[in-house]
Amino acid sequence: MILRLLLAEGLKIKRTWMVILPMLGALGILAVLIVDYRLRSEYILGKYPDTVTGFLLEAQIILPITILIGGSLLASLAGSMEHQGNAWKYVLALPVSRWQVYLAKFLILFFLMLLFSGGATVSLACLWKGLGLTGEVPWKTLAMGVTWPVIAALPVLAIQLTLSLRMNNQSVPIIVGVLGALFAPAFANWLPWSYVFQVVPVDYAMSRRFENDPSLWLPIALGEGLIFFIVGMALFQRQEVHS
Amino acid sequence: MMRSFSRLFIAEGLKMQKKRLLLLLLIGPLLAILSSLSIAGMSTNAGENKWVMMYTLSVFNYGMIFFPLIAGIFAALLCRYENHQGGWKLLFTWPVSRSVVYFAKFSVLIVTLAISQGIFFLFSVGAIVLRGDVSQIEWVVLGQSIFLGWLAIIPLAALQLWVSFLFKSFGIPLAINVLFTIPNLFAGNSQEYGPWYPWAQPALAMIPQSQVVDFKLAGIIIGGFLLFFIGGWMHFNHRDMLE
Repeated sequence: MILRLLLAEGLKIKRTWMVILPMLGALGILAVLIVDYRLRSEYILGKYPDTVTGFLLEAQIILPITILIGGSLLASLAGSMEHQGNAWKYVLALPVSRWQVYLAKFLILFFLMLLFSGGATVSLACLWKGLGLTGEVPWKTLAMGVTWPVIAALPVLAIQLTLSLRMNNQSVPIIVGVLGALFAPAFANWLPWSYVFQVVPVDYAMSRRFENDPSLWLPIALGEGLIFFIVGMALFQRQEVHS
Repeated sequence: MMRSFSRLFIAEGLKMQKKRLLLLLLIGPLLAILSSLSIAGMSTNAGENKWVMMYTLSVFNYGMIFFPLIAGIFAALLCRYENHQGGWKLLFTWPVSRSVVYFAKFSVLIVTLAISQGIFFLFSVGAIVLRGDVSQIEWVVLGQSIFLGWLAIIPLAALQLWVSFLFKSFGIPLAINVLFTIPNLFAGNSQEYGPWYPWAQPALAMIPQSQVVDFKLAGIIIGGFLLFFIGGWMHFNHRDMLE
């Protein structure tokens, strides 16, 4: 059942912006890092203990914010599809339960985020080759470097999807996502938006504010993601549908 | 002409939902100021112009991402009714010219952005009073920063209005805006490329400075405004309205 729902969701996003967006995001990260290394590669190579650490930490300028804001945007696009076509009544009149509809939406959203992390891994590897850095391409570390933040974003994805499914007008969900990504880390490291900044797979303390510790924050993010997912599902189950 | 403009201006104002508008306008400046207060509060560097440092931090928090983004959101909200329910045709059956409709929408957009600047100004002054630096404020510098920031957002507002009436979906203009806003964190710091980037112009114009206006930036902003405003206006006038 859920497989068929996923196929249906896949069909809905076929040939839309939603599939292109993760790729654009990955290319954007590549572009920013190319400029960054061109402008000040000597400074970067001298600043960090080793190349991989420097590579992943420089990616931090843009990677977490892209994941959070991009994820909010994808959640909004996925969640507002039926709002726009006034199609909720039709979808929910089908013989599928609501939690399955919610689950399918969430899985598609997560799949798109994984697509992004795949693309970002490849672009980081290309950059590594292009810069002629020493040693083999550290595929595993690079993949972890972009996938862990995506997993750490699960609570935020659940919050955003819930908001986008509930609200007909998408301006509030988008603003919540953007403001969370921008300001939450400045306030506290336990806020759902902050985890993404704290799971770099390197042994390096960035500052007192960012307590980088994947082994602590990844399980918290996963647990919290599950809680928010269930809460969002329950809310969607009881939601009144007007159109 | 003038009369139908003022009537349409009021009509467009009515279409914006006041409560949602106020919420969107208040939350960004508030969080920007709070986060810069919490960061500035930690630094012990007791310079002469402490308010400048705090204010510059808030300008970066607010101007780099939130302000360009809110311009895109309001542009999309302004075209939402017409895009969703086939309102363009209804609107154009009235005895009003398309140009006046465009001017009215654009005026509501830039007035809303002026309100956003006003709120940011009030919050900034409030934060400075809270810190007890009120005697140091150079009102001319502060006022100039707020006003120039507003002028610098106008080209982007014109561009976003263009994109917003072009696409029927609410998400696409927002996606475009978000995609181009994120690199701001990076492009905005570059002396060379920053001024050419419409999304970075507001923040650059808002950085408090006591010297006279930066003519290069001003020229690019005026050029950009003419390009995007006249382009959007002409396209709006000559476009086939299918629904």
